[in-house]
Amino acid sequence: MVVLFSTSNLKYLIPFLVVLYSLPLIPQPPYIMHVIVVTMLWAYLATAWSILGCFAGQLSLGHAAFFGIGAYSSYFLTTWYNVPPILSLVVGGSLASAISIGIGYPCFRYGLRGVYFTLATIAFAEILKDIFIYLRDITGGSLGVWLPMAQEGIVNLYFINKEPYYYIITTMWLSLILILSAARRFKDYLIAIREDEDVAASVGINVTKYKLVALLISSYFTGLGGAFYLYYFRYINPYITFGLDTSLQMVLLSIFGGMYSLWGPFIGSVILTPIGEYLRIVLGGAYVGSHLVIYGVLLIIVIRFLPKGVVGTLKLVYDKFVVRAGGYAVKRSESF
Amino acid sequence: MLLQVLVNAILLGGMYAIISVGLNLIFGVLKVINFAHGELIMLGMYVSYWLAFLYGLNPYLTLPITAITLFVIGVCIERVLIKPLLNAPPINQLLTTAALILVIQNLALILWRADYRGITVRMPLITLGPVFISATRFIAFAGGIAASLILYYLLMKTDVGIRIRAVAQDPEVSQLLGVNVPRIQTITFGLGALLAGVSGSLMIPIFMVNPTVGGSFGLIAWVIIVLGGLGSFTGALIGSFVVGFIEAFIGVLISLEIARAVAFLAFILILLFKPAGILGERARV
Amino acid sequence: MLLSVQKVSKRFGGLWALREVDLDVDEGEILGIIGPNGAGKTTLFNCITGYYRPDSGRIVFRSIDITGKPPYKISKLGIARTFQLTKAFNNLTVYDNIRISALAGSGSSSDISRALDLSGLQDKKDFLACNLTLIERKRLELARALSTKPKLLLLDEVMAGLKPYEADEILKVIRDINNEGVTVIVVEHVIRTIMRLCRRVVVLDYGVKIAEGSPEEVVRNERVIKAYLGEEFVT
Repeated sequence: MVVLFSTSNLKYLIPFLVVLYSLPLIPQPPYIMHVIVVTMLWAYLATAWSILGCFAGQLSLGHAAFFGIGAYSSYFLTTWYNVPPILSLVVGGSLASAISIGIGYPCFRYGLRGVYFTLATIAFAEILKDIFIYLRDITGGSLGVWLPMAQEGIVNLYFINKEPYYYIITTMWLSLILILSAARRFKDYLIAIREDEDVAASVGINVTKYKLVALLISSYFTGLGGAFYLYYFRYINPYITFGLDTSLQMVLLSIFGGMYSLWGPFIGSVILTPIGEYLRIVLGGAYVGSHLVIYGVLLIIVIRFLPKGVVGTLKLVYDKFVVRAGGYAVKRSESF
Repeated sequence: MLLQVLVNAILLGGMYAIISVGLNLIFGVLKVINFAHGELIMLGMYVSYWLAFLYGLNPYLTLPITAITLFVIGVCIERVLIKPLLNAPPINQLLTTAALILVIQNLALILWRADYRGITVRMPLITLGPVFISATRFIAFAGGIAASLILYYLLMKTDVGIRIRAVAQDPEVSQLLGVNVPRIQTITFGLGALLAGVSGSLMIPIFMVNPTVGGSFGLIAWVIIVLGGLGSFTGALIGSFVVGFIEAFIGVLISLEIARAVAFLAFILILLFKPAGILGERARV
Repeated sequence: MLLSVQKVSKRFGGLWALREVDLDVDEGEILGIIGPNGAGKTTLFNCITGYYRPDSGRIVFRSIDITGKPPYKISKLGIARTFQLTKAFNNLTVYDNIRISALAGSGSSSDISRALDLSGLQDKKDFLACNLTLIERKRLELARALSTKPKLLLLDEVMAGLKPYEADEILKVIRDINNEGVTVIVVEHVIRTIMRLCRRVVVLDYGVKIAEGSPEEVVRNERVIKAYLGEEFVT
């Protein structure tokens, strides 16, 4: 079972892909499909976040900023300039990436690390949220904006059924995983930076540059995710898009799933998102927000007792009981 | 007009003082990043609100009840969540308290719904020449200043206060000198929560409460204490007035949201460039 | 002359950690730097390796001015270092520690195995760095430095915390490294090490160079004795 978590094993990957892509062929009610789409979306977002957060070890709690830029810029491009949504998606991601330099360059260049970096990212997202609320004439302020209905099709990213959305987001997530599996040297540099920046610098790694690259890539994909959110939900407002809740969710899923695994965010989302959506749908009215309470409690528990997340704990158990190489005799790097 | 804004700025500064002084106390003594401070304020506001709504009690009179309730809540949070975090990497503290925000905010949402609630206390409107001063804001301001002074006195002159300062300076040595460090830590956190509760009581006649208001207060409190220099008591006071002024002036000139954005920008700039005050460590290594 | 430190000064606030320090290092030698605590030895290392920027002065390495260059560039130019408190990529295996260190340089597997052999960590190559003993971590620091194929190696109090027989083992590794053609600068407190390892020693006190010469000369130097032990011990 553990080998599933090492992406080098193709013979396990193929069946997984088959299952993944044939999932929608099983007839199911729309709300189940909705939950599946949302699960994949969060898996995708959490994976995008983990490029900066888990690989490079820079815990950003402001990634909602990039999510929001992706969402809003796609909105403007589509409604004002009639840019086909499929293109707006990419431009939205690029814009998010470009703006990420605004917070990334000063922080990395001036060596803002650890908690202080995290605080700066939180402030960054809040600034954007405040600006977007302020510019109400353009952005619709707190009330948000809706996307009008459009012609169905891939160019418009508008579908009546949910299945096409599922294929799109799943492909997005899969591409991300494949890209990240392949980028081995880049990952090595990021892991070195995560482990110890001073040591990394002393062996020739340009820490500032690689942190920045990680941020650019992470924010690009997060921006794409924000745009997808817009085209799927058809409604955004500054609180959803730039809110701390959104940032926290990306972080929670990654940490819960496993910080040292490429599959961690996916596993985290597969476990938590359906629970959250179920709670939201079933307990909805009277107990709105109860899924967030559960998320919060889970995050606290995981941080305290299972810092390596689900995947990490499974690996620990595997090492200890199956391979009998646990504790001091661990013989595997915490690598991706 | 300008005078009015100036007066508002000063009043706001006083109100922020009590929030930030409490958070500063917690950070200075326990060295813990408590992100959920805003939620404690929100709880304080709700306690006052419910006492007023259900029993018709004036929030200024129920202030001691709110204070004690929040003290108890603070002690419980410290014992259960914060104690294990004291030696954990700061990022764990940040994430745990951020998760705590989620929990408290949404529990409040479930219990009390999302409606904005407020209470009106019949108070005269004070006029000082061309300037209007709302009595409720003035009381909050005065309360803020008074609380800061009382805290100052407590820290400087009382036995408990000296022990708190000792733990803030060096917990290990304090322990060697016979100070019950874990108990002092619990008391301090409770005290910080108490101050948050008091500020809630003072603010419910002015601002409406709903489960999400904690978020803004919490973040602003952090901006204030970083601006003033983490751990510094007078710094927190100065920071409160700086932010109060930013909010009052820019809030009127442009908008409240932009005022917040400016405060957060100042926050980032301070983190980047002003090394002072973070316990002798610099924000960058 | 491999490295030339020319009138380098560094201050922190009002305190001068280094004051116009001059230092020349010849290719192939093992130079020792000693001095009481706070003398500025680690500050000097940090200036040479780019972690600090000198307030004045120049540092020239192989005819290239490296003053103020960032650490990664200095590493690529051929200077490697260890840290006073041993640092490593804790959640990675010894092998991965060395592999990634070599990556930014040449990255060939022969460099990695050479580094493993020279440092004596072949048996522990699959162990996580955080599970190593102190001396093994020091070996790892040396292996890591080696894997970048440096011309100059700076060792910051590498003997700290080691028992005498462990120190002897590390001494041997350092000598082997030097025999491979790597110039070494050693900052040490343990005089015994300095005596046995270095042919030339420089002494710093309060950021100023107060003596230079062979270990025997330096140990008898009045200013040095005064700096370490105080006025009364100068005979």
